[in-house]
Amino acid sequence: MTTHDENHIIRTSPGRFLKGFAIVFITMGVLGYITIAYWDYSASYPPPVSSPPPAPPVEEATEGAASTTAPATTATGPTITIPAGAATPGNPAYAPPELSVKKGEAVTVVNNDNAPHTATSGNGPEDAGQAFDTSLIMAGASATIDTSAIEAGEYPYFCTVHPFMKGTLTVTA
Amino acid sequence: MVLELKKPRPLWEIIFSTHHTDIGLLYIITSIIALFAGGGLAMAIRAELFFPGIQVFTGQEDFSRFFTMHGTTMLFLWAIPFAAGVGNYLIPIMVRYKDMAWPKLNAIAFWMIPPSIFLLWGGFSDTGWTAYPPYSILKAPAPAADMWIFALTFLGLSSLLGAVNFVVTILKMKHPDLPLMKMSLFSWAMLSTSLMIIVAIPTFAAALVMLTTDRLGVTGFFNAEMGGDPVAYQHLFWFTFHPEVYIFILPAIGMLYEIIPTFSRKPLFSYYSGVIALVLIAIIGFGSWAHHMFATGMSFTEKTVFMVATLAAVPSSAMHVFNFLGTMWGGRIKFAAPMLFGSAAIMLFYASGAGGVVNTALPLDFLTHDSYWVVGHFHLLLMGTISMTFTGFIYYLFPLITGRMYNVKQAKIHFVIAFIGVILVFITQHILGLYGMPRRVIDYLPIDELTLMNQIASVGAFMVGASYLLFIYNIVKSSMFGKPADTRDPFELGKGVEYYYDYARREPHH
Repeated sequence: MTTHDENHIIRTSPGRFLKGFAIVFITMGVLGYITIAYWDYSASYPPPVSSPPPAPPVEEATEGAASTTAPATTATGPTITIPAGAATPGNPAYAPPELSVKKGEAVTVVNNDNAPHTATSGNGPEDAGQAFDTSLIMAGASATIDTSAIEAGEYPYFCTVHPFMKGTLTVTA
Repeated sequence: MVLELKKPRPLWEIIFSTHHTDIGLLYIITSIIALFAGGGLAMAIRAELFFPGIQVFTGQEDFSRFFTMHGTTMLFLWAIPFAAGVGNYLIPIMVRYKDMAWPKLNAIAFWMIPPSIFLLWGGFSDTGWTAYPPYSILKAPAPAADMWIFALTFLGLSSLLGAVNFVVTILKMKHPDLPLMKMSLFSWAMLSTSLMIIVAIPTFAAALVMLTTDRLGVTGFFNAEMGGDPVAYQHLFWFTFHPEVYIFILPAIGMLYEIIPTFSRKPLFSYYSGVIALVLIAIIGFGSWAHHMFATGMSFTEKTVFMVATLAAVPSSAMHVFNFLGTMWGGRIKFAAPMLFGSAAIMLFYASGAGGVVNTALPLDFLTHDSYWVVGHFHLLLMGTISMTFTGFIYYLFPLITGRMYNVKQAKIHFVIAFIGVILVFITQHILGLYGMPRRVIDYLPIDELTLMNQIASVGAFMVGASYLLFIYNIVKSSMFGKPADTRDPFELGKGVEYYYDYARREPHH
């Protein structure tokens, strides 16, 4: 061991200490500002793995053309597609979200997601299925809504499994 | 507190220095700041839980972000950097070398911490400090969780570089006249800690990379939808973080080996058993990780193996406790602040250790899993044992670092309030857990018993918070205006005590 220092080395003056404090508090202030100013921004985006997949082409479906839509089925006539990833809140639920058909036409609902879904008329469990109900459509399967028994009008519908999935079906006379 | 010399250097020279005492001091100051930041979050959490219902936070989201940052800050910015800082300060003195083996690497290891702090606190992730998938890959909001992952990668790298430096300094730069078996037990503790870090951390670093790519959707290691296994993450995580528990505790035990013999005015009871226990725990600590995961559906055989492996870690911890008690037995004990904190830490180490032993029994583990029992148990270790020891060691090193003496009376008041507070919070939380209160939830049922116990816990937490405010006031004021300390014997232990550190070593020689 080297020798002990005989003279006390004490020169920590308040001035020096204030400088140290200034460094610490300015740094913390900057960081605190970033944290608080971007509080909502820093936790607002879902991770890429669960972000919405590219939206499927919707024009053909609205026109009722039977050419290239709905890979899982050979349906002709108006089609509602449930795109992959629809079970995650915030993703597109039904494509197209608003569809208008003539009374009597059969609407095909194709489930391209990997979870079961329904298209059930109403705004929620309290008035579910009063006009139409596809019941569960398994992944990859499809179901049909017969509009001949429905009066003309605008019908909101939703998924009983994932109530945040909503769409609107308009039946014209 | 700022390092002093015969001729004062400008502050920037200290901040960007590569000398081991300067870097040690920077580590210690950073970790004390983190202690107070994380403590502030804890106060907010306890204020929220004072009454049932939601008062302080806007909802579970903000609450999750607060407890995540509380855990991350306390573990990675307080416990580990403080140990590294004290190690930096003392290891070269103890092994009689002029500096750490690689001074620049040492500085790099420290300077990885501030960017990590910016990433962590700028993002304020909400994954919980464990970041279990599927939440952390499928739902955790984007910038924050990714910032958390990168910050932890940097911090892991920082501890790795520090650990390599410690191992080389201790084994290769040791003075030729100093045999390994005459080295201080604190050096042994830092050596086994560093070896554990080198073995443990890479697993978690790999898991973090997998988390990132899983979040991007490129891979599906932990994504069940893509054929991955979320439980695999828990294995990787706990393979790092069960040894990490010992990485937290071993430096504290090494510090107790410094404090206890000094203030008992007696030589250490058994040096060899201390060395054996330190090395033993560094090996056995790797065999018990899955006891954190008994509830994930492992086979009975696996669970039994990990239960027995957990129990196998008990003897080496108990060896330390008996060693401390044997040292104190018959000594002329002076209960200065470091010794008060040290003896409280031994007592609470026993309490938290006993809780852990009981908890590893399979039938109880299923009842207490994810309940406040677990919270009480690990906080009793981390706060009651580790942070109490660290606090005591700050008082112990205070005369060495500043050349002044802290206010003895205030230090004792700090101890009494903190000790009572710690017991009020964490023992009560054990009982809360047995009543079935789940952890990480912002609210609880308005049952009288739950409300009362939560209020006891909150009052205890506020006591701890208040006592630490007194602590920071004491050390800040004393380092400017405190009584000059006798550098040979600052605690007035009298003749025959050859112990205190080489004061002149505070001066850089290069």
